[in-house]
Amino acid sequence: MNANDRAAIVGVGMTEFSKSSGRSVEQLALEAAQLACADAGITPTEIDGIVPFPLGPSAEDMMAGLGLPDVRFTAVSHMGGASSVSSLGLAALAVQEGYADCVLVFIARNGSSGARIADRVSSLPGQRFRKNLEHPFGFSTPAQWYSMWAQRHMQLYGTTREQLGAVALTMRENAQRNPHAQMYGKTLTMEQYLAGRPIAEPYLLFDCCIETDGAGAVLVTSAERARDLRQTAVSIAAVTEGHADSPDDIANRRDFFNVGLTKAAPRAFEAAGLKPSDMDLAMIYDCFTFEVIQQLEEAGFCARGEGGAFVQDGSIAAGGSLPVNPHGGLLSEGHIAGMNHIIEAVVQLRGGAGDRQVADAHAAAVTGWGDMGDGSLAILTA
Amino acid sequence: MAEASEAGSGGVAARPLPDLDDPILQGFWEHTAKHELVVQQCESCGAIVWPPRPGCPTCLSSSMTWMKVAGTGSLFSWTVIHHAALPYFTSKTPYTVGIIELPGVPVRMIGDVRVAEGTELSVGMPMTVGFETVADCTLPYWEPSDAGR
Repeated sequence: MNANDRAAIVGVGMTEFSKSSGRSVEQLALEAAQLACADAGITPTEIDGIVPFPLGPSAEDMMAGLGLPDVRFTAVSHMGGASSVSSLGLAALAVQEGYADCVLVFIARNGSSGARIADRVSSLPGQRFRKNLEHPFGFSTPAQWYSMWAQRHMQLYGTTREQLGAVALTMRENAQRNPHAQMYGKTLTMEQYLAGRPIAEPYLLFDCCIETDGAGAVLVTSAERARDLRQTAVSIAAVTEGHADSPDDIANRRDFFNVGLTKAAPRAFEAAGLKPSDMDLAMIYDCFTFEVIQQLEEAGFCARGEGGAFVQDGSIAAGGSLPVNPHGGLLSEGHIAGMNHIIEAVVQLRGGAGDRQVADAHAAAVTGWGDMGDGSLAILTA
Repeated sequence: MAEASEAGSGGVAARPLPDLDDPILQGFWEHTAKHELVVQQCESCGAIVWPPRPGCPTCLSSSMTWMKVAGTGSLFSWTVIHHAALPYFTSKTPYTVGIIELPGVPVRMIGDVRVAEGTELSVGMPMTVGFETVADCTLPYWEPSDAGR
């Protein structure tokens, strides 16, 4: 999916993030959509395309709730958490080809007060052998599946707990500059990180992202339309997706660390005519700390096995050579499946991030991660 | 999904158990009942397939059979689970789940790994399969090959 600068993000909106929103996901979605419209300076009735997240409120919920007169394009990406980024590709495709002029991409969840991850994953692929060959052994959640990668990486490459901790601490530190973050005002030291209760070793409490009640929405139009709107247009230079071999089983991958991003990233950089080193910042889907290391390696920001050192030497911190998740990520801002990573990238590229602003931010890579390592990559420029 | 209470559990959450009537996996459980560990094999091209699937991903044949393996392997990776999501396992924590690589076939199995407390696990550690009967099915488990049995 390659937009070649013919599509742009023109509006973004997010509700507050909390442990308990006190309202329905439909209501959260409507609020985020309206915030995105206000940000773009358009009325909601201009929306004529909708790409909802695969779980949560539907396109019809938005048509009904916003009183949309004529939605002529809807599509859904089914890639778990990677869907937020891959949805940008569907929206870009629609506006490029004239299927719609203004596409709403959104997610809303009560992920803290409602269905938590252990319930959400029952819709994931490979259910036959999940239920028959994994659940009888008590193996059933992403923390448990992904910890296998972290363990082997530590054994093979010497990646350390402190390096995983460096990811957690960087995210938490970034969140202290983000009043919207659930972890704003809540610092984390390495001692506290190491003392976190074990979840699925090597994952401890602070290796795992938080759960959030909240919603986020973005609006995509053609580049031409974007020029007439109030915000600096953020161009969708490329969006790609990729799936690991095999997509529904991690254990039997011959190249154990390869994931969807391993295929999606080179395609995205080639389509955009850019390299990893051209990125001014990277938004990495940080469901767990190790997955940041893994995605940095697989996307080509550092070599396989060197991600531990890369995240520990200051490169990914504010002011480093590749700032990662200035907003605090899923680990410390909140978890709305990476829609917040897209939104932060847009804010950064517009130059509107205040004390979180990455200097000279003109190109951002945004990863998506879902299921057993499906991947997507968007390259946004301004 | 068939469920049954483990003997002596007195009404606590049931262990999730395999569906013995699942058409693709049925043969696997028929073999474990005889304490045999098998992997799926394509009758047309001989490719080994794991986890078992409706047909062969290599040649697309739907004629699949089972091939016995030795029941030994090496530890490829593992996790020690302290926070269980499935209710039955809440009282079993901490417990270990591993990926065991079988020699001679490109198969890695997810399995219940049983180690004595204090045993340090390492990549490549030799493992041997054991079998236990729970209700009407027989489940494999793995332990270090040098554990006295």
